[in-house]
Parts: sequence; C-alpha cells; structure tokens
Amino acid sequence: MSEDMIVHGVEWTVKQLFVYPNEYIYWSIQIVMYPYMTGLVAGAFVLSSLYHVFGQKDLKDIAQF
Amino acid sequence: MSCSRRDFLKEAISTTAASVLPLSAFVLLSTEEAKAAVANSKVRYAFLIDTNKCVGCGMCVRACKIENDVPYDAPVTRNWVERYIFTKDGKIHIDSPMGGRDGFTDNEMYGEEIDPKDVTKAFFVPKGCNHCDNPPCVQVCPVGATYQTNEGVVLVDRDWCMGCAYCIMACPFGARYFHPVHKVADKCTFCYHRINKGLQPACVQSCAFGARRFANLKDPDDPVTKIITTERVAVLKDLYGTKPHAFYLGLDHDVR
Repeated sequence: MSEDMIVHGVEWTVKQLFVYPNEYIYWSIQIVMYPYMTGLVAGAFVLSSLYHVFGQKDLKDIAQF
Repeated sequence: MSCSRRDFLKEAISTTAASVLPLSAFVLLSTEEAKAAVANSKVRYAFLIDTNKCVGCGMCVRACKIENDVPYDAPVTRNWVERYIFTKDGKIHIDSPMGGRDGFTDNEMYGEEIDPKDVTKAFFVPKGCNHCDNPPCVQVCPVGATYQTNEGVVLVDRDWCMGCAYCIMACPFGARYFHPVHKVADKCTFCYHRINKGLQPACVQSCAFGARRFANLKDPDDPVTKIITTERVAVLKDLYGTKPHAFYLGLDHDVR
C-alpha cells in the first residue's frame, strides 16, 4: 500500500465494531477538546470579570493569571 | 481629524454605491421561479437492486473503482456488497472485506470459521449511495460543495469541498468516504459522466446477474420503473426520512 493510499482514520478505527466498509472515525479527539476548551475559556472569563469588572476582591489571585 | 459636511456626504454616497452595486450581480427569483428551475426535470434516476440475484462476485465494486479512479487498494469504496449469514444459534454474521471487492470465497468472518451446516440462511446485499430525495449530506455541508442535481443525483464539487468530513458522518448509509488522493469527500456519482451519454452506470453494466439495475422514475415506459412501481420493493433505513432512491427487491428485515 503506497503512501497516498492511507485513508484518514484507519489507524485508530477498530473495524470489527463497524459493518459498513467506508466507516472510519474521522473526527476524533479534537472534536471532544473543542467544547471542553470553550467551556474552560468561558468559565475563566466569567471568574476573571468578577474581579476586574464587579470588584470581587477575594478573586484577585485567580483573576490575574 | 476634521470632516466637512460636503466631504462626509461624498464619502457616504460613494460607500453606499460601492456596497450596493455588487448586489445587482445577483438575480432575485420568486418562489415559483425557483421551484420551476429545479422541479421540471424529465428524469429522476434510481437504483433497483435485486438481492435474490446477487452472488457476491464483487464485479460491481471492481468496475466502479476502475471507472471512477477510486484507489484500488485503499479500503474505501463507492459501492460495496455485504454478506449476511444467519446461523442456528440465532446470531447474524455480517462482513464486507474491502467492500466485497474480491468476492466472498471462504467461510471465515472476522477470524471466526462458520460451519456451513450451522447456516440457516445467507445472502448478499449490494449497497451504495441511495441518492436520497432529502439528503442529509447536502443539508450539513457548511460550504455548499455537495448538491443535488435536477435528476436527483447527489454530487460533490471537489473544488469547493474543504474536506471537513461532516457529510461523511451525516450519511446514515456510510456511502461517503474521504478520498485518500484528492483529500475531499467522495461518493457515488451514479456514473454521471456515463448516464449523461445514455450509458448505464459501471456497476449496473458490469453486473452479470442483473442484480443492480438502473431506472428513470419519470419515464413510465422504462422496464425497470415498471418493476419499481408494480412490485413490492423496500428501501434501507426508511425511518430516517431521507427518502432513498435505491429500491430493493427481496430485502430481509434484518438488513441494516
């Protein structure tokens, strides 16, 4: 099998679990990381704004990371 | 920064003109005009697949790969044949090694040897793109690279496709795959280059047993259309509501 014959997803798809021959896992770990990172960023923004915008003094340490 | 009233008006007028003028390149259609542009086709292509006739030789898969430049040794296919074996212990064994390209010649399925004495029934199911009337792959494409022609054929524009693989996951039939050479989504085109010249698709022409057939549903005199309209046919995954246009004769209810 030459270099350009390698189908995306062959390495990490367990074909015994699938019926259709074309079925591979195309979107893998990164589609899980995307909402996870988005959640972390949104949460950090809210926490940070509690100090910077609303003056919650006891959150100063984590607001300035 | 100073800005006289005269300068402000000049700027405003030229900016408005520059943003409105390109809009005149678009043609606005009324709903009736838009419907007429897509609905008045005299052809609607469909597959008729007779599972009773398929012997699992894999000729259709080989013909499709050669005709459409699908990499022969890559484990992806535009169409494929599945083997179903029901054994006496109530289990259903399904496999399709390399899409059934090399035929089914031994009793081994996923490393398990099936004794012919244990088999209650066995058959082959040829599959491929169903060219749905309500195609989920077209709905999810973020760039509009996949579309449905007037004839009901679902195609992919390789220049527009950016290879996000959303359509590949949207297709409930597993009919799409990621092309290893062009790096875009690829699928059955109904051999669009052949049917436009009055030829049959490669899989239909290569089938020696008439298991795969090809119809124009809008033509009532088409012999294959007569079979579809008068005999008992079924489609795969009817509950998904995609309105598939590959009709099956003799489809078992355990086929999925």
